[in-house]
Parts: sequence; C-alpha cells; structure tokens
Amino acid sequence: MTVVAYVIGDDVASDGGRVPDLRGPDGRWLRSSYPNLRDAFVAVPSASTPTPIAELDRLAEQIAAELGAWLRQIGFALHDLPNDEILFEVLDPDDLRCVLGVDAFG
Amino acid sequence: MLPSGPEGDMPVVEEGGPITVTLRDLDPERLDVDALGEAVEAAAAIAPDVDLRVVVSGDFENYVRERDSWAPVQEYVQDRLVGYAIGKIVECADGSAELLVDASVVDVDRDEYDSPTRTFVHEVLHLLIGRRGETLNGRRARLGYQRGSAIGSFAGMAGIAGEEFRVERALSDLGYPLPDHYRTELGVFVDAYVDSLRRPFLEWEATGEVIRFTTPRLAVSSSS
Repeated sequence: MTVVAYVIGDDVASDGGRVPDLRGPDGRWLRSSYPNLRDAFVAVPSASTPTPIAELDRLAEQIAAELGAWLRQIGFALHDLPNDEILFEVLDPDDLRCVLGVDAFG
Repeated sequence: MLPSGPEGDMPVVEEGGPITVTLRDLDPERLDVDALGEAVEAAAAIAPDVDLRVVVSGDFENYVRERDSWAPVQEYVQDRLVGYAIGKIVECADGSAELLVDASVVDVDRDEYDSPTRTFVHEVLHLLIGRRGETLNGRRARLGYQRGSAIGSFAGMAGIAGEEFRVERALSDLGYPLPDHYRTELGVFVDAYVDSLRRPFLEWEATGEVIRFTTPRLAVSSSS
C-alpha cells in the first residue's frame, strides 16, 4: 500500500498528469478501485503544509475505509471477534482456488 | 568536503547548522561522493534548523535495529515485498536526528532511477512532519487499538499510507517527481501484494495454518 500511496501522491501533485498505468493484466486488482482510493487521499495536504493531527486522523479514516473496500474487492475481509482474535475472511474461495490453480479447499 | 574513508565523520554543510556524514561498513571506492554531497545539501536546505547527522551504512538493516530501540524496530526488515527500505530517521534524546541511509543509495553503480537527493529529502520530510507533531506513523498504537485487530490494522495502514502520500506529494511539488517505473509498474507491484495474500492458502492444505502466513504479509504495511 505504501507504493500505491507514493503513486497517488505523485498523481495528485501533478493534477492528474502522472496517472498510473493499470491497463495490463496485472492492473486488474486496482483498476476499478483506483479512482476511489485517489479520492480518499486527495484532501490530505502535502508534507509542506502544516496540518493539525486531528484533521489528519479524520482524513486517515477515509483512507482506512477505502482500504477496507479494496481488500474486499480482492477477496478478503478482516473482522474483529469478541475474544480479541481477528477473522481473516476469504470472500470467494472458488475464485481463490481458480487463481491458485490448485485444489486448496479440498 | 566529504569524508575520505569508512568511519569518517566530519561536517560537510555549515549553513544553518552543521550536518555530519558518517560512513560505516562500506567500500569508499563505491561511494558516489558528488551525489552524496548534493543529497546532503538538499536535506540541509529543507531542514536548516535541524541538527542532523547522516549515516551511510553498508549494513543498514542491522544498524537501524542498533540505533533505534523502539520495540517494533527490533523486527525491522528492509524487504517490503515490493522494494526495499533504504532510509530511516532516528530521533535522538539530545534533540538531534540521524538520517540512516543504505549504502546502495549512493553506490556508483546504483540503478539509474534511484536518486540519492530524493531519498534524503523524502526522509527529512518525514522528520519535519514528526517534529510538527503530525506523524501518522504509529497511529494504531496512538489510537489505542490492539495490534492484530482488524480496526487497528486498517488504522495503522491508513496512517502509514497517509503519511507517505503527504511526503510524496511534497516531493513532487518540490521538483522531485516519483520515478516513472512506480507509475508504469504499479499493477505489477499490486499483483505481487495480492499474490502474497493469496499464496498462504497453498499452505493451508498442508498445515491447516493460514493466518500465521497471512498476518505477516499484512504486517508489512501495518507494523505500526
């Protein structure tokens, strides 16, 4: 995700002049969600602009929401369980089995 | 003037406060002295009031662990799945700061797209953010979320991503745009990340353990 943040930072700084190339098959995981992710970042000021941490936290919440949406899009979800454990949910095991090319699900 | 050999330590920039450069565990003949000098000057220009020491290390990963006793740093690894960490800021108790840099950044045969100046300025921007009390790194812990929780994982990842965005946006504005390969190969980077999340399920068949393989990959982006 750090690399995505790098690219969106450069994209926003260039006012859309340097958008990522997601046309190839590898771009399938980000192609449709990139605009939403970019929208979540665009209001975050550059490091050259002093900004109260409370405002940055508020903006980070929007980023967190989009990260969750993106994770669901690639087939996973994270949930907190009452016993303080975390559930890593596979949303589409059939699709995962297809991608892996093996019968990992028995 | 820059140090002429390993373990050298002398002031190289005097405007606004001296910056010293220390070379550790590296072959001085592999050092691009001019590039290092330019990078130090650029760092000094954007942080003129900071008492900064630059340490270029040929054993970067271990040196980071040695210099920063904060617990998560003891698990510090350079390998970030897609690329390597090559710079880190360490705040010191006396109010000074150290900029730790992997020797590969200023190697004479570094990749063409690697810019020492860009790396130095990137790290110093993190430093300035931190000194203004604006850092989003460590956000999960600051907000009181448990490590390994879902909400904490997203809080941490969003914090790291938000801060990196701020730094890169500023870098581009300052005239240091992101090297093109990040933009042209973003899909490849993301594909590798997604694969790292999916690959552990191969292990499920053999061991029944999924989360132990998957969590560390998420932690690549959410260790704080």
